[in-house]
Amino acid sequence: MKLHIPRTTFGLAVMVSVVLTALAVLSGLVGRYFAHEELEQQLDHRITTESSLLIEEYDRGGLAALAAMVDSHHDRHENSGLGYLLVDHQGRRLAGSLQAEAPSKAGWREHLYVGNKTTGDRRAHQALTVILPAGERLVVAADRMPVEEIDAVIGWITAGMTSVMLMMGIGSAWILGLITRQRIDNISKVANAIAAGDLSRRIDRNNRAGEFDRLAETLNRMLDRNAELLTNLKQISTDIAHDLLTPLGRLQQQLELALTDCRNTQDYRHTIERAIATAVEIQQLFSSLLKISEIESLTLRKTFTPVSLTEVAKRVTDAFRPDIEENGRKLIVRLDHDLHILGERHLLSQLLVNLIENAMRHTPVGTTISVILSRAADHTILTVEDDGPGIPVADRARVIERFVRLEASRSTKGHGLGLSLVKAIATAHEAELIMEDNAPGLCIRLSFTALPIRDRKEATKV
Amino acid sequence: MRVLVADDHEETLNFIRRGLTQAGHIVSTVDNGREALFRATEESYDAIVLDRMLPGLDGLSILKMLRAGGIRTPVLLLTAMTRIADRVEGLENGADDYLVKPFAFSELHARLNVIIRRPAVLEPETSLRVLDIELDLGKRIARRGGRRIDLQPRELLMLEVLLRNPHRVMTKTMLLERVWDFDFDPQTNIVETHISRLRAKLNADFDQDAIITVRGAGYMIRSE
Repeated sequence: MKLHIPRTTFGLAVMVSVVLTALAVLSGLVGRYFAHEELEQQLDHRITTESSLLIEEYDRGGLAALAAMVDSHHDRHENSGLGYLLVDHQGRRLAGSLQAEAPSKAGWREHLYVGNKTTGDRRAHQALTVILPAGERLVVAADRMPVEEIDAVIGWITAGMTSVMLMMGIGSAWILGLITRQRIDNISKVANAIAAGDLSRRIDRNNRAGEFDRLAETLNRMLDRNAELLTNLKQISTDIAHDLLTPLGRLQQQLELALTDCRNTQDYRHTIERAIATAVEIQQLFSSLLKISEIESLTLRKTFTPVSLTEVAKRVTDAFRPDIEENGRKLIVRLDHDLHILGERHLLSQLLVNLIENAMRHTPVGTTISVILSRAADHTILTVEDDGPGIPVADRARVIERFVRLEASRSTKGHGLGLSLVKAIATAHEAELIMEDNAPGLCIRLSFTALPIRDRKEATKV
Repeated sequence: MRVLVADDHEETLNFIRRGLTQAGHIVSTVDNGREALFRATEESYDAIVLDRMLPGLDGLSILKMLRAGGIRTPVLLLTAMTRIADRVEGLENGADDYLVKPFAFSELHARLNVIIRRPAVLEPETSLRVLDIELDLGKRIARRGGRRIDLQPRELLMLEVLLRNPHRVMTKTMLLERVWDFDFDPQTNIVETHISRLRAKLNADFDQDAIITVRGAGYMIRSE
């Protein structure tokens, strides 16, 4: 049989109080049993002592002495609940005044009913019968009244205690269930409201540090974070739509122009080439977005291997030097030897390319761009700085968001994804990205965890 | 040459077929994985263009089975642009090259030409020579008409790539990969800049342009 365990707080609390009550009943019964046995033994002891005294008397002085002693004991102990009876072999009373039939067999009798001379009712006695050599029977009996009284008292106490316990248990279970249900209903109500579309709802909490308040706080924090992500997502969707509309509109214009203005094959060719370039631009926008999401999903970390950041920086700066110089800017490169990190070399190349292109695009002619790779304790620091106009402190956090471009005109090339990609790649490599004022200019610093020397050997082998 | 093209997207299939047919190739097309594997093992092709996502049997499994069966036909793998890891996996499993969708036909054609004539085993060469241009691979020295030309390391590498592929167009993307190990396209025209520097150094005091620009496609070394 499958045990049915209650699933509500009320049910659980009731179950616990029923179990506790049952235990209390059990302990009452056990207590009553031992008290009962103890009292019975005391009675037995008294009876045995009396009997042996009387038998000793019989041995010493015979039946007459015994009868005399029975009568004298009877007078002495009448009020302490002891009773005596001496009968001959035919059952005729020789001495003692116990108002009962003498048992025919020797030994103990737990319930011998004895009449009371004054009140007339019959009460149970504990009795010991001894048969003398000539057939006379000596009965010593003690009133069971004290045993029964104690039994009753313990019984009543147990019953009273357990019923109070059970009532209190069920009562507090009910209150506990009520409070729990109320708090949980509160949370459910908010959850339902959110499911129905009211995203601004939050769970009320009293300022007490109870577990429900802590739960409410955690849930509220989660809801805040979700709302933030959702707003972010909405913003990004709007931005994608906006950034897609511009090149799509241009594409349409180019094609319409081809229809109306093109006079010969060469015109058509030229216009189609421009339209293809616009389409490629749209593809690049989506490709960058997908790349950022892929990097942000962090599954790429599995493919990380030791990479020489020195080699990457050298290759990238070599590639860009001619363009930087042709655009009237200066490039300074200072790379420490053999700096390795765990990463993906294409992504690291792209990270540096984006930083350099960013510096080229947003600085005036005559700017000096520096790429510095150095070691600091167990970190490898990659710094790209320029002495251009820099980024105001207020905008620094914002520029790494997707589609954020600081010029309102959006006249320069690009989609505002360059630094988002840098940030995503840095995060994938567990690198910290810091933007500082280069006074003048911008300094972007990336702090990677350097690879310990023993792993570096692997890198040189690959 | 005979080319097998496997892609489940009808428009892509027609796009590739039309382009390759116009370029004078014989093209067979299949739109599912099982047929692609069957045709690739039963018939002899000079190259296979294989989409990574195919109904029936995916491109990567086909590639593994072909290579396991000892079929060495050059394979150009097409992958969707979303997955960086896919490309690595493709090359590790025996693809000769990959192309990320969406792509320009000129890129596909140029890459096919390169993989078809890529020798199975690269013989150790000490120098490369096309017309009057010579590159000493050991000493890393370039000469034109016997006269030494001073080149930067990346310019030397770019010249080496062009000299190793005479008669073949090297696209911008191919040069970015082979010279700088970039798997992405920077917004700066670094290829154009380096080609123009290399060209200027090679052409100094010579009438004939050493590097041919193929409009809309890429660059190749003048070989005739």
